[in-house]
Amino acid sequence: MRTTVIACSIALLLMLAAPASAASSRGIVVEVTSITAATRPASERGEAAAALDPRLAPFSKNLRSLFAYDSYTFLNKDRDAVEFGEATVFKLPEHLSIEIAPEQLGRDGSNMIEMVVTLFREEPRREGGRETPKREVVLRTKIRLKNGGTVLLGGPPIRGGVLVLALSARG
Amino acid sequence: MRRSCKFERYLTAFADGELPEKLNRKVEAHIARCGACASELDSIRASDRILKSHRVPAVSDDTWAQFRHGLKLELDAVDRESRRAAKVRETRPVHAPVWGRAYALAAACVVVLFAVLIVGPFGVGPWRGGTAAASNECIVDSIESLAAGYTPMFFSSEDPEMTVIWVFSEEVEGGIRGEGPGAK
Repeated sequence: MRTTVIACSIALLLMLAAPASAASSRGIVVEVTSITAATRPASERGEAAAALDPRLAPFSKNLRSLFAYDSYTFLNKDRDAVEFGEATVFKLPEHLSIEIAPEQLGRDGSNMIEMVVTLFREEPRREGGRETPKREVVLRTKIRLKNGGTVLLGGPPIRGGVLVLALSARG
Repeated sequence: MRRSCKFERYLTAFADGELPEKLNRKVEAHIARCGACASELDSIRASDRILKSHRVPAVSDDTWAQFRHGLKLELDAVDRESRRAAKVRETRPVHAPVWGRAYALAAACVVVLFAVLIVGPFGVGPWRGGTAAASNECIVDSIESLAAGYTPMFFSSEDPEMTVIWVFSEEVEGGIRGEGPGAK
């Protein structure tokens, strides 16, 4: 019994100490949820509230209060661990991609994650008989996001509406 | 019910002449004046006479050998049983800590697993809870769009606490609630 208590106590201490020290010193975990926001034709809309995919329940309050679209469709959710000074890229629909490059966490003890977020659009172009992809920076922003927090990005048109991204990061 | 006399316990030994001299004299004096003890002594002596009149039956050597052999087997069986019981008692404290350590290790593994699942960097807990519990404070240090036809902007809302970074496209009409994304 005493051994069990000691072992569990040590495990709990490790549990509390490990995430704070290890993750913050090496990098962060980012999660990107892709959503299509659209406005339905008046004939389909009726009196009903904005249609929301059940998988978007964590963001329902934000989507309904911040945007005026009346339909939100879940597209994909992806997660990756990325070290400070490096970047991770998530593929998005219709030749779009988002690159997240964390720089540091907790400067001045603020518990904010500094990162550069870049939204690319890559379109195949035919030049001189050869197909060469053209990569455009649709959006580049440097942000400081509260550790564990979420920021919404979006705007690029995609089939059926516009793309909205919920970006969460934890160090 | 007959009331017992305190000298009664000495009567058998007195009859056999086994008492110390001083006690023997005391018992003798008591019997002289105690009718109950005198009567009991007579009974004891009568019993002795009856027993002495009967001859002790002779037991053959074979019977004694058989008896000894049977007794030895019985004693050996009792001895084996007690040794087995002792071994079980000794075994428990030796094995208990081994199992105890295994249980402790298993319990620690379960705690670590839950820790990783709930609060680890790949934990599911914080993500499952969505944006409601975590603070979504976000400071935008810079924002730009290098592609033609896009205009970037951002705004923050206090309730719910959220920052929206948006690129307006010439292809898309509308904007944020009121005048932004989706507004008509």
